[in-house]
Amino acid sequence: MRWLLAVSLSALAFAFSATGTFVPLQTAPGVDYLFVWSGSGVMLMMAVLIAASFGGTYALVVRRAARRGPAVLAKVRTGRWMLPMAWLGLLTLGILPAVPGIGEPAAVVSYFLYDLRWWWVAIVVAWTGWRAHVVLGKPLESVFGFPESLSRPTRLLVLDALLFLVVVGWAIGVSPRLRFTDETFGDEPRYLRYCEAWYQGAGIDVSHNALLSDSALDAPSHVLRNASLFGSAVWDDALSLRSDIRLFLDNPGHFRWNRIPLGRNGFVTGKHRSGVYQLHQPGLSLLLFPGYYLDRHLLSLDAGYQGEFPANLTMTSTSMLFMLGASAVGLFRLLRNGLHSEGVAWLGAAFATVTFPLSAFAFQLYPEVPAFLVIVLVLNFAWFHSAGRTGIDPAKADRLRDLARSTAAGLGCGLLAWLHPRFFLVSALLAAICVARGDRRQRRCVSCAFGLTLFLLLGYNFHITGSWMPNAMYAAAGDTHQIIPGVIVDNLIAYGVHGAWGLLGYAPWLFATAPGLLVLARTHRDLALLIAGLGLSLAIPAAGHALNPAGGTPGRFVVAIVPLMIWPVMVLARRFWCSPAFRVAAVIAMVVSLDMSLSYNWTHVKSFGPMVDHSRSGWKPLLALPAIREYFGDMSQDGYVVFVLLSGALAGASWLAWRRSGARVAHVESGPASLRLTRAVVVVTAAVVVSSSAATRAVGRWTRPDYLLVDAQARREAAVALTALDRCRVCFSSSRQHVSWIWLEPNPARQSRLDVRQDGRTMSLRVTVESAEGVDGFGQVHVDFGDGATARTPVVGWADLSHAYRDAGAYEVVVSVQLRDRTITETRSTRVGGNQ
Amino acid sequence: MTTRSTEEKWGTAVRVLAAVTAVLIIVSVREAVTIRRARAELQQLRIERDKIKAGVVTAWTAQPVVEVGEVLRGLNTFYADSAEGFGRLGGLCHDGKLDERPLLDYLFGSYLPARASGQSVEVALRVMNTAIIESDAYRLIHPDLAAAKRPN
Repeated sequence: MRWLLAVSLSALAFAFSATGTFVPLQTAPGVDYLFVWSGSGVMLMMAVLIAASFGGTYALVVRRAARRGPAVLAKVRTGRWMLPMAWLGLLTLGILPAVPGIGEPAAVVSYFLYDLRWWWVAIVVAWTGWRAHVVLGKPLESVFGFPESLSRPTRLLVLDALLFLVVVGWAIGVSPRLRFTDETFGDEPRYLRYCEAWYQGAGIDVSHNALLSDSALDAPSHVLRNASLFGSAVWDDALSLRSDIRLFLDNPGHFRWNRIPLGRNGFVTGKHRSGVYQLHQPGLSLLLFPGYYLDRHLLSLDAGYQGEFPANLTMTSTSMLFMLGASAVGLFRLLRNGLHSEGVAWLGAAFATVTFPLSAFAFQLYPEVPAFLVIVLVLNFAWFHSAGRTGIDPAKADRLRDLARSTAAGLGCGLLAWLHPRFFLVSALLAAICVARGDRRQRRCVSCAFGLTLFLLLGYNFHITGSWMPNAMYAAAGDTHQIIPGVIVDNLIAYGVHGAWGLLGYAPWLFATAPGLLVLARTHRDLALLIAGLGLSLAIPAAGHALNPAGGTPGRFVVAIVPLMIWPVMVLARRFWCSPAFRVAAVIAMVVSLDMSLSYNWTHVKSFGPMVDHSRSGWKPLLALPAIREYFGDMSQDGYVVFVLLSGALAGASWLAWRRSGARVAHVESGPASLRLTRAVVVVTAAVVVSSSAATRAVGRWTRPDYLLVDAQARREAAVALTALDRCRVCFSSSRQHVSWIWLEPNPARQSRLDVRQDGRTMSLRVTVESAEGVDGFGQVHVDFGDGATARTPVVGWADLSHAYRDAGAYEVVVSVQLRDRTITETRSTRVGGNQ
Repeated sequence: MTTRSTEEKWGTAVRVLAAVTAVLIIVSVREAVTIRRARAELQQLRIERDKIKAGVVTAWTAQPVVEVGEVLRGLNTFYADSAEGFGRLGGLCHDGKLDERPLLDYLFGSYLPARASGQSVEVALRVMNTAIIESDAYRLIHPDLAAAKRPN
């Protein structure tokens, strides 16, 4: 019972902060945080509610325990199983910045304990539920577990479907601005332009694309004409190649293969000085085309972007969404083979897909999501299903299936190169792995399929430019740089730790990648090397190109490989899960990553890449990362010391993981498990908050306007909360010990207006106070209805009151509007009729 | 549960799924055909709408240029007139910028449609004047004149 009382008091403390109003008011010197409690009435109601719900739950569990014998009953009666709920009280510290004299330096505390409060509540409730479940002998296992009768493939199918639904549901749910949008930005129109050209039967030459706004709604598509265009192009290119070779042999020193003039803005003119072609390759367009065809042929009625594409791109967006869901399933299958646990693999795949950066690309038409899908599928085949791995006798293997899989793997590797030139290295590495690990037949299939797709890609370049080089078009792009070797290392580091574009700030779980790879290397060195190699083979060309993806979502150039890092991270987590400190750190990283993904997607629009979130604390982990661009040049840059310390911490964590992973797992019991966990929660949380605060201070900014609640909304919320209380006993701000609504600025209310309406015996009043420049005035209204009844209400902008008179007659209604500087009293005479 | 019965159960489920998929494919194809037909009808409507629009403009352009010029001049004078008009310095070109609203509302919106429908110049001018007098902008400036001149 003592525990019940303790957790109830703790929950009441949490209710104090959760039901109050905590807002950041932006002022000239900085942010002034304000806290207004909800009033004694609400707190009393919360106390009753908490007592009833906690007492009810306790009684229910005790009743269930009574059936399981006196030993279980005695254990349950102590109430220790409710211990996790006691942590709720700690969340009250989230309003620390509002304590007079503290302010912005406590923004980090506020982020962890106030902004993330509902995540912690969910975890604490789930944890308590789990403890009750365990103490009662796991009665719910039969309800939520898989039935015994379910076969292995069926269970796998159910898990696949569930994962697909969770990932797709998350993407739709958390992206209110982007879901199924018809807005296109950046390079997206380039991929759609191929789809439109194919729909019109124009092949890859986009110069003849008719505007959608000029064509009839029932105009037929000419998709099949592309096949005849392809045939004639092959014939023309064969003839062209013959003459090119002859000319080259005649004069090898002066013959120019790449004959196109310098292009501009991502477009080039063909080698015959006719036709307009795009720099971007049509691999993604091929995958989007079925969806685009439905939008173009059936669903959309109007023209969208520049009159070129359908205004409604629902099915095109759905194609991307499906590819995201399929990627999650592909990752799950890969991790399932790699981690030998369906549960762990499912959680890992779901987590890596719903967190940043992959989740932000569910509705963006870029080749990154399909590239990730291809990478996980091919990697799964190469590592776990090739003949070298399965050890199946080639004579006994299903020949046709094997042939199809190997060919698909080869085609997949080739498709990567078609998606974007930055995937060339990944494509080559994966093809090499497939070849190296397969038997003779698989090798042949993979090589042929990969070779064919590469040959087609080079032929595509030859068709446009006359050159067989894969970068022929980019070489002719006058205003687009390809790779700048000098910026590779700086950008590689910045991809991780940059204050605006670095991925560690958006997804802190990535911090565990390097330690995870080292732990993995202990048992599977070749696999760790492969994952690192895949990461670098995409990150190096990407870093050579740019850090900022044309103002779009951070990390776009490397998103096709980032979620794969969940593999070493899950290996690390499994190895050290026995450590309470690791568990707490992992949960914090997980919650922050999920919240960052949710916050980013919630406000994200395609035209603005960096994070925007209207939070109460105004702090994000990105503020603890320095915005450095030259890591080995100027050491006097702001936050350089943070970069050095962060690098040291990463190196230290990696070294520690490597050392510890070699040792045998030994459980050193230093007190009861709950005590160790409690200690870990306190120490790790304090370490995270203190180190984040120190880093933020060193970088130089506690908050950013982009991360703060919009000031007008904050002031309106403050006005509503303050005017609702007659005399505020627990209202304080960073700059003032005791505040009331009189203190809050700006308040443009100098005048008020009264509108009275009567309907039978019911009188309705609307009190409107003066507003200015989008800011509502505010005050308090007191009404004496003349029949002995009075009412008091806050007014922010306007307020409505109504009163039903019991008896007919004439009444004097006195309305007093208390504004900041004066009180306006108005009297209205009213006659109430006999009819109700 | 034996392996055989499990297999039979799943076999049935797969057959049902295949049947449902086949039905859905047929329904989808039929829906697609219906949508294409609806698009053709909509296109026809759009063509007719454009024809009507073009017809209206053709009727406007059929009016003598001199006559339209006179009306335009009259409108400009009325906008500049402070006694009964809007009293705007510069008439239709107030503050050095053309105010296209009166042209759209009164010349293209009232006068020319009236002329295109076969009304005489006098009747078309009356229609235009009525439209001006009944406008909110005119009533705001000349409430008394607007009430007096309002046709019964």
